Amino acid sequence: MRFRKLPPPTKFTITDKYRLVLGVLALVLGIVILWRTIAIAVSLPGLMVGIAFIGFGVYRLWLGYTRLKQLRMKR
Amino acid sequence: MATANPANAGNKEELRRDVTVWGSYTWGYADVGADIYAALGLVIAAAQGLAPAAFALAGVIYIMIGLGYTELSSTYPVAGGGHYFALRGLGDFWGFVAGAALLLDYTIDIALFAVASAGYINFLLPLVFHGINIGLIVSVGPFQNIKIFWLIETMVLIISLMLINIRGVRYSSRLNEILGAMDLILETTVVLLGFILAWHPDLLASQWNLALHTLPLSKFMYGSSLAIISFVGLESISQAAQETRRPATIIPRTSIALIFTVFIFAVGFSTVGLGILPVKEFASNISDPVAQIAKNIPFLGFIAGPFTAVLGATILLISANTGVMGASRLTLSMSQLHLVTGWLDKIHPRFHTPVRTIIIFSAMGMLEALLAFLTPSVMDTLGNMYAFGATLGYMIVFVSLIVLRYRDPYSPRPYKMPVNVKIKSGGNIVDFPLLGILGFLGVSFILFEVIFTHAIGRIAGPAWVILCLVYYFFWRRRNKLPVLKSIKHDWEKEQIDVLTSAEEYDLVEEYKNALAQRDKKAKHEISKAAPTDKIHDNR
Repeated sequence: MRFRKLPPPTKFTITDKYRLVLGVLALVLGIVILWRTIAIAVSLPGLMVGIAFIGFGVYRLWLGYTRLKQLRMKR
Repeated sequence: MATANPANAGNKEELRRDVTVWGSYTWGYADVGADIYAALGLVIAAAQGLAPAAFALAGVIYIMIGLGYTELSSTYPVAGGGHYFALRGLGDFWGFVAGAALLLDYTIDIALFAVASAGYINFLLPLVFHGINIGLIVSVGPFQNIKIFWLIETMVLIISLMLINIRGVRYSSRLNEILGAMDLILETTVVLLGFILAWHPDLLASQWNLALHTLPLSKFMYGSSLAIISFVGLESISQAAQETRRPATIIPRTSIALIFTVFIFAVGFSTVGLGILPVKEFASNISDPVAQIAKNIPFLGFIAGPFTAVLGATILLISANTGVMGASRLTLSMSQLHLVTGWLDKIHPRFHTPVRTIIIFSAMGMLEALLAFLTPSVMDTLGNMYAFGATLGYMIVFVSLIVLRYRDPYSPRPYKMPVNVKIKSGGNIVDFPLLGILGFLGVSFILFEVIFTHAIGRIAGPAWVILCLVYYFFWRRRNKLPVLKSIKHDWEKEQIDVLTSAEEYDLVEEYKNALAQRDKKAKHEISKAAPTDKIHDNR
């Protein structure tokens, strides 16, 4: 898989903020789902969805962090 | 041999490329993201406690389809979609078959999403008009329990869409952006609050375990084949590609984000839903499952339920409209490539819209909805048909993707499906897509499930394709065009035109260089062979 490079960001946009907020929400939700699944009743979909949300949240936060880093370097 | 005009060069009206990154993402989300509103109830009713597994199975295959579409749409950013890729890779005949399958999907799209939209309206009506009988049922001859109120609502919605499209009210990208964003926020809120405030892991675990031990395999297969409905609409990626500036840069990113978001929501909704309500609640409220989940969220349910129903009805109607628009775009592309008659593209002198295609395909959608209402479960019947058209179309697209890697290795691919093996073919090193093979097998499996488990889909789906093929044979013969062979196309010129109009100038250069290298190599081989021939001649 190869992506063409996007030009470095010129400002911290609404999309970037949305990405970060969504990342935090997904991470928190993933932890809540996992915690409740393990504490109350373990099931495969509960575990998988919890892990998936944590993964999604981490990925989104990493994406937002990378953009912020690029922006700082440019400045 | 007849020669076809390049699709783009022949366009009467070039679509303007002004869709942004966010616009491209929300365009897809307004279309694909709406599917869960219709599919959730159907899949839970069929696969019961194993619905999350059904969504996950269909979702994994959908991810592969999505990656395939991303590669093809960023390589060939034209609005024809699946039928165009099939035509380039496999020739006119398969291009037509893919077009016929997708056309079936677009007409079912009109019917299914109009029916689903009316279902969400029915959630609201009793709240607004107290005492209204939305469950009015009539029986006509052999047809029992026809939900007449729901049927009339559906017909009114389809006729309204038809009239709006004939008048040519431009369905702007901005509207897509707003609705897509609202839908995204609402779905996130419902999933988030549902998991935090209303979700019972013990209810989910008990329903999961019960289904695991008692559900017949055929029911699970039926559910997983219906789950593919919640991911249909990937054609919107190629439609967005036609109207996106610098699609090679934007499309891969936005479509991959879209694919994974939709996948997470589909599995997330089924998991949260089964932890809030028992399966029988979904089975008895098949037409408005997301509103049922929202209604049961503590503290906020009284407002979240109706709000979800309003947004669900709106976004499903937009999805139904995509069917009306998609069918006219598809037939336009097919007629420009000499696969169907140009009669369909007649533009209305006053409204400047393709009035014939709009009327014909909306009428087909109405007919399909009417026939589906005569069966025991309207949503189920339409879902059957939808799954057949989608899987057949996607199968052909996968074959096209693999063949195009060999037949057209020179077109720059800004994104390639991952997991490739390098193979030497015709003097070129070609990336053979292993994931493409896996995707093809996955879609074939879903098509097998559809044929094996869908009583209506396995008859009506192939019947539609055969009917279209009869028309194709007749029309091509009458117009003295090859029936099983292809018309000659100047694909190289078209590719340059398409990339130039997309402002992908570096890709144009890359493509021209690759073609020059190929020509140079061919010339060199000819000159190398020539002296030997001369010696042979002299002898």
